[in-house]
Amino acid sequence: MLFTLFALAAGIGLGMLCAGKSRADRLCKAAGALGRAAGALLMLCIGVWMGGNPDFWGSLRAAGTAGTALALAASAGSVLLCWLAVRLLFREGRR
Amino acid sequence: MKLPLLCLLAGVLAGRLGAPEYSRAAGELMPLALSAVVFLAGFDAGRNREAVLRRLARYGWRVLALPLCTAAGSVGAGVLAGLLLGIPPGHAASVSAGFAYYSLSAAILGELGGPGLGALALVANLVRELLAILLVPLLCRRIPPAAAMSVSGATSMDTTLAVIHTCAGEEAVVLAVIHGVVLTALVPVLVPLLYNLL
Repeated sequence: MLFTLFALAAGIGLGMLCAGKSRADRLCKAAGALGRAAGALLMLCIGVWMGGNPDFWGSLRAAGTAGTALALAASAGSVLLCWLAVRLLFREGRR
Repeated sequence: MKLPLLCLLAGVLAGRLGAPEYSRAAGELMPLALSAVVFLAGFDAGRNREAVLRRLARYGWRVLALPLCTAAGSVGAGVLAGLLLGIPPGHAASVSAGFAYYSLSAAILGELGGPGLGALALVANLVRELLAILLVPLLCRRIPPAAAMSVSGATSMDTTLAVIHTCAGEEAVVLAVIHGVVLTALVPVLVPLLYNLL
Protein backbone atom coordinates (compact mmCIF):
# COMPACT_ATOMS: atom_id res chain seq x y z
CA MET A 1 0.00 0.00 0.00
CA LEU A 2 2.84 2.39 0.88
CA PHE A 3 4.57 1.80 -2.45
CA THR A 4 1.30 2.45 -4.30
CA LEU A 5 0.88 5.74 -2.46
CA PHE A 6 4.50 6.65 -3.21
CA ALA A 7 3.97 5.90 -6.93
CA LEU A 8 0.84 8.04 -6.89
CA ALA A 9 2.60 10.93 -5.13
CA ALA A 10 5.53 10.74 -7.57
CA GLY A 11 3.12 10.77 -10.52
CA ILE A 12 1.19 13.74 -9.14
CA GLY A 13 4.45 15.61 -8.49
CA LEU A 14 5.75 15.04 -12.03
CA GLY A 15 2.35 15.89 -13.50
CA MET A 16 2.30 19.18 -11.57
CA LEU A 17 5.79 20.01 -12.86
CA CYS A 18 4.68 19.37 -16.45
CA ALA A 19 1.36 21.21 -16.19
CA GLY A 20 1.05 24.16 -18.56
CA LYS A 21 4.48 23.67 -20.16
CA SER A 22 4.28 23.39 -23.92
CA ARG A 23 7.56 21.47 -24.05
CA ALA A 24 5.98 18.73 -21.95
CA ASP A 25 3.11 18.19 -24.42
CA ARG A 26 4.78 15.25 -26.10
CA LEU A 27 5.52 13.68 -22.72
CA CYS A 28 1.85 14.11 -21.71
CA LYS A 29 0.66 12.44 -24.91
CA ALA A 30 3.09 9.58 -24.36
CA ALA A 31 1.92 9.27 -20.74
CA GLY A 32 -1.69 8.83 -21.94
CA ALA A 33 -0.70 6.02 -24.32
CA LEU A 34 1.56 4.44 -21.69
CA GLY A 35 -1.27 4.59 -19.15
CA ARG A 36 -3.58 2.66 -21.48
CA ALA A 37 -0.84 0.13 -22.22
CA ALA A 38 -0.03 -0.30 -18.50
CA GLY A 39 -3.75 -0.79 -17.74
CA ALA A 40 -4.01 -3.46 -20.44
CA LEU A 41 -0.84 -5.17 -19.16
CA LEU A 42 -2.22 -5.14 -15.62
CA MET A 43 -5.48 -6.78 -16.76
CA LEU A 44 -3.50 -9.39 -18.72
CA CYS A 45 -1.36 -10.16 -15.65
CA ILE A 46 -4.43 -10.44 -13.38
CA GLY A 47 -6.02 -12.80 -15.93
CA VAL A 48 -2.94 -15.02 -16.30
CA TRP A 49 -2.40 -15.08 -12.55
CA MET A 50 -6.01 -16.09 -11.89
CA GLY A 51 -6.26 -18.47 -14.82
CA GLY A 52 -3.15 -20.38 -13.80
CA ASN A 53 -3.86 -20.37 -10.07
CA PRO A 54 -5.09 -23.83 -8.99
CA ASP A 55 -6.19 -22.42 -5.60
CA PHE A 56 -8.57 -20.07 -7.40
CA TRP A 57 -10.20 -22.81 -9.51
CA GLY A 58 -10.36 -25.17 -6.52
CA SER A 59 -12.02 -22.49 -4.35
CA LEU A 60 -14.35 -21.57 -7.18
CA ARG A 61 -15.64 -25.15 -7.31
CA ALA A 62 -15.97 -25.37 -3.53
CA ALA A 63 -17.50 -21.98 -2.76
CA GLY A 64 -18.39 -20.60 -6.18
CA THR A 65 -22.15 -20.09 -5.91
CA ALA A 66 -22.22 -18.70 -2.37
CA GLY A 67 -19.16 -16.53 -3.02
CA THR A 68 -20.59 -15.13 -6.24
CA ALA A 69 -23.93 -14.39 -4.55
CA LEU A 70 -22.17 -12.62 -1.68
CA ALA A 71 -20.04 -10.60 -4.10
CA LEU A 72 -23.09 -9.58 -6.13
CA ALA A 73 -25.04 -8.62 -3.01
CA ALA A 74 -22.15 -6.66 -1.48
CA SER A 75 -21.54 -4.82 -4.76
CA ALA A 76 -25.24 -4.00 -5.17
CA GLY A 77 -25.53 -2.82 -1.57
CA SER A 78 -22.51 -0.56 -1.82
CA VAL A 79 -23.65 0.95 -5.13
CA LEU A 80 -27.15 1.57 -3.78
CA LEU A 81 -25.95 3.26 -0.59
CA CYS A 82 -23.28 5.32 -2.40
CA TRP A 83 -25.76 6.38 -5.06
CA LEU A 84 -28.11 7.58 -2.31
CA ALA A 85 -25.22 9.35 -0.59
CA VAL A 86 -24.18 11.03 -3.83
CA ARG A 87 -27.75 12.19 -4.45
CA LEU A 88 -28.05 13.54 -0.90
CA LEU A 89 -24.56 14.93 -0.32
CA PHE A 90 -23.26 15.74 -3.79
CA ARG A 91 -25.66 17.87 -5.79
CA GLU A 92 -24.15 16.76 -9.10
CA GLY A 93 -25.64 13.31 -8.51
CA ARG A 94 -28.93 14.60 -9.88
CA ARG A 95 -28.80 14.05 -13.59
CA MET B 1 -12.99 0.00 -22.51
CA LYS B 2 -12.96 -3.18 -24.60
CA LEU B 3 -9.17 -3.56 -24.52
CA PRO B 4 -8.79 -4.16 -20.74
CA LEU B 5 -11.61 -6.71 -20.80
CA LEU B 6 -10.12 -8.50 -23.80
CA CYS B 7 -6.74 -8.53 -22.04
CA LEU B 8 -8.33 -9.99 -18.91
CA LEU B 9 -10.08 -12.75 -20.87
CA ALA B 10 -6.95 -13.48 -22.92
CA GLY B 11 -4.98 -13.65 -19.68
CA VAL B 12 -7.40 -16.09 -18.03
CA LEU B 13 -7.24 -18.31 -21.12
CA ALA B 14 -3.45 -18.11 -21.30
CA GLY B 15 -3.15 -18.85 -17.59
CA ARG B 16 -5.58 -21.75 -17.77
CA LEU B 17 -4.03 -23.35 -20.84
CA GLY B 18 -0.40 -22.31 -20.41
CA ALA B 19 2.41 -23.52 -18.19
CA PRO B 20 2.37 -22.74 -14.44
CA GLU B 21 5.45 -20.54 -14.99
CA TYR B 22 3.23 -18.04 -16.84
CA SER B 23 1.11 -17.58 -13.73
CA ARG B 24 4.19 -17.08 -11.55
CA ALA B 25 5.69 -14.61 -14.03
CA ALA B 26 2.39 -12.71 -14.19
CA GLY B 27 2.31 -12.59 -10.39
CA GLU B 28 5.79 -11.05 -10.40
CA LEU B 29 4.93 -8.59 -13.18
CA MET B 30 1.68 -7.46 -11.55
CA PRO B 31 3.21 -5.08 -8.95
CA LEU B 32 5.25 -3.38 -11.71
CA ALA B 33 2.24 -2.92 -13.97
CA LEU B 34 0.22 -1.72 -11.00
CA SER B 35 2.86 0.85 -10.05
CA ALA B 36 2.95 2.10 -13.65
CA VAL B 37 -0.85 2.45 -13.72
CA VAL B 38 -0.94 4.31 -10.39
CA PHE B 39 2.03 6.53 -11.35
CA LEU B 40 0.50 7.47 -14.71
CA ALA B 41 -2.95 8.06 -13.19
CA GLY B 42 -1.23 10.33 -10.65
CA PHE B 43 0.61 12.09 -13.48
CA ASP B 44 -2.71 12.78 -15.19
CA ALA B 45 -4.23 14.06 -11.94
CA GLY B 46 -1.18 16.25 -11.23
CA ARG B 47 -1.28 17.72 -14.74
CA ASN B 48 -4.92 18.67 -14.18
CA ARG B 49 -4.41 19.65 -10.55
CA GLU B 50 -6.61 22.74 -10.72
CA ALA B 51 -9.69 20.78 -11.75
CA VAL B 52 -8.91 18.04 -9.21
CA LEU B 53 -8.30 20.47 -6.33
CA ARG B 54 -11.41 22.46 -7.24
CA ARG B 55 -13.47 19.31 -7.06
CA LEU B 56 -11.88 18.11 -3.79
CA ALA B 57 -12.40 21.51 -2.19
CA ARG B 58 -16.04 21.40 -3.24
CA TYR B 59 -16.51 17.92 -1.73
CA GLY B 60 -14.66 18.56 1.56
CA TRP B 61 -15.43 16.10 4.35
CA ARG B 62 -18.07 14.42 2.16
CA VAL B 63 -15.23 12.57 0.41
CA LEU B 64 -15.08 10.29 3.47
CA ALA B 65 -18.81 9.54 3.29
CA LEU B 66 -18.33 7.47 0.13
CA PRO B 67 -16.03 4.75 1.53
CA LEU B 68 -18.14 4.58 4.70
CA CYS B 69 -21.28 4.08 2.58
CA THR B 70 -19.46 1.43 0.53
CA ALA B 71 -18.55 -0.36 3.77
CA ALA B 72 -22.05 -0.14 5.27
CA GLY B 73 -23.77 -1.12 2.00
CA SER B 74 -21.46 -4.08 1.39
CA VAL B 75 -21.80 -5.49 4.90
CA GLY B 76 -25.58 -4.87 5.14
CA ALA B 77 -26.36 -6.44 1.76
CA GLY B 78 -23.91 -9.26 2.45
CA VAL B 79 -25.72 -10.14 5.70
CA LEU B 80 -29.10 -10.12 3.89
CA ALA B 81 -27.76 -12.38 1.13
CA GLY B 82 -26.22 -14.62 3.80
CA LEU B 83 -29.61 -15.03 5.48
CA LEU B 84 -31.12 -16.14 2.15
CA LEU B 85 -28.23 -18.54 1.49
CA GLY B 86 -28.16 -19.96 5.01
CA ILE B 87 -24.74 -18.46 5.82
CA PRO B 88 -24.34 -17.27 9.46
CA PRO B 89 -24.51 -13.44 9.71
CA GLY B 90 -21.00 -13.19 11.19
CA HIS B 91 -19.53 -15.18 8.28
CA ALA B 92 -21.46 -13.26 5.60
CA ALA B 93 -20.63 -9.88 7.18
CA SER B 94 -16.92 -10.64 7.55
CA VAL B 95 -16.63 -12.04 4.01
CA SER B 96 -18.41 -8.95 2.61
CA ALA B 97 -16.12 -6.70 4.66
CA GLY B 98 -13.20 -7.91 2.52
CA PHE B 99 -14.18 -5.16 -0.02
CA ALA B 100 -12.43 -7.12 -2.84
CA TYR B 101 -9.15 -7.28 -0.88
CA TYR B 102 -9.15 -11.05 -1.36
CA SER B 103 -5.65 -11.92 -0.20
CA LEU B 104 -5.96 -10.29 3.22
CA SER B 105 -9.60 -11.21 3.89
CA ALA B 106 -9.06 -14.85 2.85
CA ALA B 107 -5.97 -15.07 5.07
CA ILE B 108 -7.72 -13.58 8.12
CA LEU B 109 -10.88 -15.65 7.72
CA GLY B 110 -8.95 -18.82 6.86
CA GLU B 111 -7.22 -18.44 10.20
CA LEU B 112 -10.34 -17.48 12.17
CA GLY B 113 -12.97 -19.73 10.56
CA GLY B 114 -11.00 -22.47 8.81
CA PRO B 115 -10.24 -23.22 5.14
CA GLY B 116 -13.91 -23.31 4.10
CA LEU B 117 -14.53 -19.72 5.19
CA GLY B 118 -11.15 -18.68 3.79
CA ALA B 119 -12.12 -20.14 0.39
CA LEU B 120 -15.49 -18.37 0.52
CA ALA B 121 -13.73 -15.06 1.29
CA LEU B 122 -11.25 -15.65 -1.55
CA VAL B 123 -13.95 -16.40 -4.13
CA ALA B 124 -16.39 -13.67 -3.01
CA ASN B 125 -13.70 -10.97 -3.04
CA LEU B 126 -12.04 -12.14 -6.27
CA VAL B 127 -15.45 -12.19 -7.96
CA ARG B 128 -16.07 -8.68 -6.61
CA GLU B 129 -12.84 -7.47 -8.21
CA LEU B 130 -13.87 -9.07 -11.51
CA LEU B 131 -17.33 -7.51 -11.17
CA ALA B 132 -15.69 -4.13 -10.69
CA ILE B 133 -13.67 -4.49 -13.89
CA LEU B 134 -16.80 -5.51 -15.79
CA LEU B 135 -19.41 -3.27 -14.17
CA VAL B 136 -17.70 0.06 -13.40
CA PRO B 137 -17.59 1.12 -17.10
CA LEU B 138 -21.26 0.18 -17.54
CA LEU B 139 -22.35 1.85 -14.29
CA CYS B 140 -20.39 5.03 -15.07
CA ARG B 141 -22.74 5.63 -18.03
CA ARG B 142 -25.86 5.44 -15.86
CA ILE B 143 -24.96 6.69 -12.38
CA PRO B 144 -22.38 9.20 -11.05
CA PRO B 145 -18.83 7.77 -11.18
CA ALA B 146 -18.46 8.40 -7.43
CA ALA B 147 -21.19 5.82 -6.82
CA ALA B 148 -20.07 3.47 -9.59
CA MET B 149 -16.57 3.15 -8.14
CA SER B 150 -18.00 1.67 -4.91
CA VAL B 151 -18.13 -1.76 -6.62
CA SER B 152 -14.32 -1.67 -6.66
CA GLY B 153 -14.12 -1.50 -2.86
CA ALA B 154 -10.53 -1.39 -1.65
CA THR B 155 -9.19 -1.99 -5.18
CA SER B 156 -10.29 1.47 -6.37
CA MET B 157 -6.81 2.68 -5.39
CA ASP B 158 -4.90 0.03 -7.36
CA THR B 159 -6.08 -2.79 -9.64
CA THR B 160 -9.33 -1.15 -10.78
CA LEU B 161 -7.94 2.41 -10.79
CA ALA B 162 -7.13 2.04 -14.49
CA VAL B 163 -10.77 1.20 -15.25
CA ILE B 164 -12.05 4.11 -13.13
CA HIS B 165 -9.54 6.47 -14.74
CA THR B 166 -10.58 5.41 -18.24
CA CYS B 167 -14.31 5.81 -17.73
CA ALA B 168 -14.49 8.65 -15.18
CA GLY B 169 -11.44 10.79 -16.01
CA GLU B 170 -8.58 12.22 -13.98
CA GLU B 171 -10.89 14.06 -11.58
CA ALA B 172 -12.14 10.71 -10.24
CA VAL B 173 -8.60 9.44 -9.59
CA VAL B 174 -8.04 11.25 -6.30
CA LEU B 175 -11.54 10.35 -5.11
CA ALA B 176 -10.91 6.69 -6.04
CA VAL B 177 -7.58 6.64 -4.20
CA ILE B 178 -9.10 8.12 -1.01
CA HIS B 179 -11.96 5.59 -1.29
CA GLY B 180 -9.48 2.72 -1.69
CA VAL B 181 -7.15 3.85 1.10
CA VAL B 182 -9.99 4.16 3.66
CA LEU B 183 -11.44 0.75 2.75
CA THR B 184 -8.02 -0.93 2.69
CA ALA B 185 -7.42 0.37 6.21
CA LEU B 186 -10.85 -0.88 7.31
CA VAL B 187 -10.40 -4.50 6.08
CA PRO B 188 -8.00 -5.76 8.82
CA VAL B 189 -10.18 -4.07 11.46
CA LEU B 190 -13.69 -4.94 10.27
CA VAL B 191 -13.17 -8.54 9.10
CA PRO B 192 -12.17 -10.01 12.50
CA LEU B 193 -14.47 -7.60 14.36
CA LEU B 194 -17.59 -8.64 12.42
CA TYR B 195 -16.61 -12.32 12.57
CA ASN B 196 -16.40 -12.16 16.37
CA LEU B 197 -19.33 -9.79 16.96
CA LEU B 198 -22.08 -11.37 14.85
